[in-house]
Amino acid sequence: MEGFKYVDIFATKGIEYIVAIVFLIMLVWFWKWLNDTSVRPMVSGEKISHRVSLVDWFHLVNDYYYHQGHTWIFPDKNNNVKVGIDDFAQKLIGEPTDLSLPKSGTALKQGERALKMQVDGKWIDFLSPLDGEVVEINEKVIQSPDILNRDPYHAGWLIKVRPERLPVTLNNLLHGKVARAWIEETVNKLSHIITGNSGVVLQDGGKITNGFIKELDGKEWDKIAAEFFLTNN
Amino acid sequence: MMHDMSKLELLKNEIKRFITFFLSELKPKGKVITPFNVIAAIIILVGTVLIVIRFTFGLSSITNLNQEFPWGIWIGFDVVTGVAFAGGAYVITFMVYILRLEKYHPIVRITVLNGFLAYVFYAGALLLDLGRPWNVINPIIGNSFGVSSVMFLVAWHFMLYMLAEFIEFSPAIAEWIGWKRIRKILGSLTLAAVIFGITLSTLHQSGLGALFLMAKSKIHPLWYSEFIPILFFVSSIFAGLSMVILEGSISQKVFKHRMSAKHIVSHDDIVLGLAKICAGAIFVYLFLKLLVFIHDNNWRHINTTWGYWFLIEVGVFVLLPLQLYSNAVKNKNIAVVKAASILTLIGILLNRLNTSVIAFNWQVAERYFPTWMEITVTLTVVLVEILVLRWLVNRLPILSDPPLWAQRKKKDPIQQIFLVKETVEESEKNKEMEEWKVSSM
Repeated sequence: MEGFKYVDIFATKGIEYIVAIVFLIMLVWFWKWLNDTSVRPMVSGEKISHRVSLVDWFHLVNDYYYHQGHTWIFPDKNNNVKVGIDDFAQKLIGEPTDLSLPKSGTALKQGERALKMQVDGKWIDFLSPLDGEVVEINEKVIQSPDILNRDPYHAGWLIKVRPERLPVTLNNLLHGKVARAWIEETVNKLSHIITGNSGVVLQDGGKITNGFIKELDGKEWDKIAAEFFLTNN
Repeated sequence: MMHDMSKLELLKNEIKRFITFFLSELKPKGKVITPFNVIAAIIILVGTVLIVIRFTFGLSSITNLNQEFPWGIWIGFDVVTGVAFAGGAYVITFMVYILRLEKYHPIVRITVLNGFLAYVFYAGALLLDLGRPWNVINPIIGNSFGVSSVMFLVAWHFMLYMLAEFIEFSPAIAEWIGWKRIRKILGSLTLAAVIFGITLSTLHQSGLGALFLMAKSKIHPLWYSEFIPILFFVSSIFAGLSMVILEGSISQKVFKHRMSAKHIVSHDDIVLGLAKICAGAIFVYLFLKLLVFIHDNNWRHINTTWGYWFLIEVGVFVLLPLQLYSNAVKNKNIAVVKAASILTLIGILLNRLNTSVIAFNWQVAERYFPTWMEITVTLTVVLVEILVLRWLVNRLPILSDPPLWAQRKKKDPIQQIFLVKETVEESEKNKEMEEWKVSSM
């Protein structure tokens, strides 16, 4: 063992112990670091293939209540609620050129057509998510409908409603985990349609832009949209 | 008596139905003349001729093998590397059936099928290398078991593992043919087969390494260690998963039409999950390598040509993939995951070839290099496997969803209330469609 000062059996055993300890410490650190995936904000039009899954592309706000026709409600001051369309709806159809909202005083029934938007010359209907009476319209959105695309959940609200039978109405709306599962199923449905039409959009890392439904089906896109918004009959 | 007659009648009808069905499935789906098919056909044709020559005139007629180098790439690549690449099956089935990570369910079937075919073909390629291939049956039937040999363990493990993987995969076959009852029976065997399969896998992945313990004096000390079995086992985890990632990205292009919507949507998520496991496993492997290196006092070999070669293997094909996988997971970058998987696979190939061929007999002046014929035969084995895989994927419910009758009816309230808006008309149509597909078997 002469001349092997650092690598004789005792020395090497010592190094082995140190390496083993360092390894265990580093493994803990490494695994923690690897699992810490703080999510970057999503940029509109980003390449989908680089994202975890399509579901992440459609935002839901946790505290809101959602109607399956892709409208939402959220309590406002004076026991009124705000009503709007969700992120999925706004991304699906893109920027509307005109809005037709029910006037103040109009009585709404849950599940009946209430809101209208004009996109590319076609009128798209949305269902009312609740029963009640319209008390206010968001004039800002009517003047510049692109607010809807920029901030569908806050500045992009459409009408304020004085609700009736709110507990019953809420029973029929989706919230929290259920809403999340529902949007996942919606995405599944969407991917069925996409693969049936032109898979190009998703598979090849192509970009999904606002109003992408129009690219999927040139003429009949309003019918597909109506299927999602439950206004197809 | 009447009853028996009708049963016999039923069986007869079933056989008739099966034969018509099978013949109709034999027809090629898609274009026959494609560049890939033509090249594959030529190679397979030449390969088949070479295999005939090998069995007629012996190993020396087409290989460079001799007493000094009894094992060439047929063992080093086909068997030793092929089995490591097929390791994905036991890892994925462990994750899905034991840990219940449902996220990975969509890739179970394709992975198990890949694993099964890999074993059939690559372990099958072992026969090419046996001087008297018919003796392969001896350890099984007991005409001298050879229990003192690691080969005994490897032989039994390969055979039992193929059986276990076949059972795991068999529900897909029953679904394809439409055997409802048989599928139920086979489906109930899955979990047992999975547990059995995992046990066998962990043992024979390391068992393959243990084979090389016998060749201590022949393998270069940088690759020889008494811990080869452990290194082989740990590396088979990320080798297998890297293969799953690579195959997945190829499938996504080639078999897109067969993939279920859920599979397509969840694909990226699955790939990133696998990449994370790969990163973890490579991290462990790297440290094991380091420990073995220190334990065996290998510093003195580093400043030699073999040492540099060793450093390339570890640096470029272990350390770099680790870095790529980790970064890809952090940045959610699928393209980098794919690149990392390719590098990892090359690294595993290099490691296994180093152990079994390149750094084997490193002190002997003579070097072994495979003949073009050995390479052609290896390519033949790989190509035939790919063709069989393609044939099956295009017909069986492997990437696609199982037929409706075989899908578990989920009692998901959301689906029931909001989403399953299947019209009466549609469900009638589906039922009709099923009628002729599903038999009473």
